[in-house]
Amino acid sequence: MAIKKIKKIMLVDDDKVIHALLSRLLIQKNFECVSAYSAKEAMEILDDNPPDIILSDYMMPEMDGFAFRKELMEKPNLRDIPFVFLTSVSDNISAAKGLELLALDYIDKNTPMPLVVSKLDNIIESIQKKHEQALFEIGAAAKALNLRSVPDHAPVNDFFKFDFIYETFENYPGGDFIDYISTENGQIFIIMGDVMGKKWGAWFFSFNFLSYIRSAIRLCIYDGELSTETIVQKINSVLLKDPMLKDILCTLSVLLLDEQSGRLLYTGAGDLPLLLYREETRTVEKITSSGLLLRMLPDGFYDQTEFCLNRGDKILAFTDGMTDSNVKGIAKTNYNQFVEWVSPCLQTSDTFNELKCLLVTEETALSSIDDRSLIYIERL
Amino acid sequence: MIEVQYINDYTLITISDSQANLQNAEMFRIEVLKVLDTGNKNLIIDFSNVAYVDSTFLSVLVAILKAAMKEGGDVAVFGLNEDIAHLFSIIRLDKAFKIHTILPDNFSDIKS
Repeated sequence: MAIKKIKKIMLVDDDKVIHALLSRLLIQKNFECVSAYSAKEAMEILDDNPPDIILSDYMMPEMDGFAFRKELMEKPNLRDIPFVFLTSVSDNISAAKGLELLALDYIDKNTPMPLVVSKLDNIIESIQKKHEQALFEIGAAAKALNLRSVPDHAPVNDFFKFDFIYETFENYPGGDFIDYISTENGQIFIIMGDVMGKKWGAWFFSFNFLSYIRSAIRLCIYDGELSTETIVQKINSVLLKDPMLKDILCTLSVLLLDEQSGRLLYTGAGDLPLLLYREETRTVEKITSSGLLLRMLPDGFYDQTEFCLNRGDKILAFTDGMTDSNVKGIAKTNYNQFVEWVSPCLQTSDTFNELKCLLVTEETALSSIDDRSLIYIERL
Repeated sequence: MIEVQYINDYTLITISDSQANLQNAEMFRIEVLKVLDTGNKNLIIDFSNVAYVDSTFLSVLVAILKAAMKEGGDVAVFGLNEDIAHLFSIIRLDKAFKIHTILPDNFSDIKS
């Protein structure tokens, strides 16, 4: 879902009149304006509340605009935020000095304020367009190479309804992956994982992890080894030996479902507890696992839970993107709240569509802080 | 990003930011590894100021644990808020990190 976010501008200036004039205009034009009256105050705000662009005065007491820019450039998490100087010092030497510090522009304070706002809007738009273009090109390349971390659709089956939700974060792919692998004996492996990290880094490594997991499962099917616990332990052992994966960790949920009997085996690695809805009692229970994240330690404490899905029973598995959210600038993780939120959907006859209506909205996309995945299984 | 205090046989590392996430995870790794490099191998990471921790930061925390274990040390955590403590529990990080609500006098006190 493509989401248009409100653009956030940080204004750093010791002049309260400039703040009053510019912030009123920015808010009128539907921008969010974060005000800092000194470079020091800006540094304190920036770590927790990074804007889309910083507009900073040059002449400020204590730390001037150039020193502020230099300090930002030393911080890996802040140096790439687009930076523009707004100042009454308009000599060419100062302008050159600002541009040497990779400031995108140098706006004279005498410029009419509406023009300043238009200029900022243009800068942000042009940066966003470049991002979108880069995303499109990488996406096209990934498609051409058949690199997919989630399938086009879930398998269709006479005994079970399978489906899933996968939502990118701000149109970036992330570390979540989903797959279904059928055996010739009427069994199906359902896999969901999340490479810990964000955006491209996690997305890149998701293919490495998924390749290992697919190969391990196929080899185990070939050997007749159908214990999810053994499979996950083997995957962990092999992954730990791959130095290319560095410090990357990954969650994993592996479910093995017998289509005829409804018998289900489950092993988890640092994943969130699954939700199991029992039609007979109309109750929702959490299915926990003891396994550690993949690549954390050689002994991952993996276990295997076995249970049977009866007619009308449903399973939900989901990644932390579903349980983490950002409300009014405050990021939070709340598994229990998510469970309370989705549980009523499990009691309806059209659960998956109800879940989609609840979870795939503009509001949930705006408050998300990671890619979000959910797997749905229902015995028919 | 962090404040470092040396308390008897361990080093207390307090995270000063309220969001422990992708933005500051790398900086945290660099700064804590510097502390480890100076021979301080038993660390307690203080999360008292932290309202939210994301998966990138947790990966870095595990990398620091592994680096400390390699040196014969260990890493414990302290001051987790309710949400973060619950997260550690549901994704089983409590099996790898000792979680403390009170700062011990000595690191050895918390290993028993």
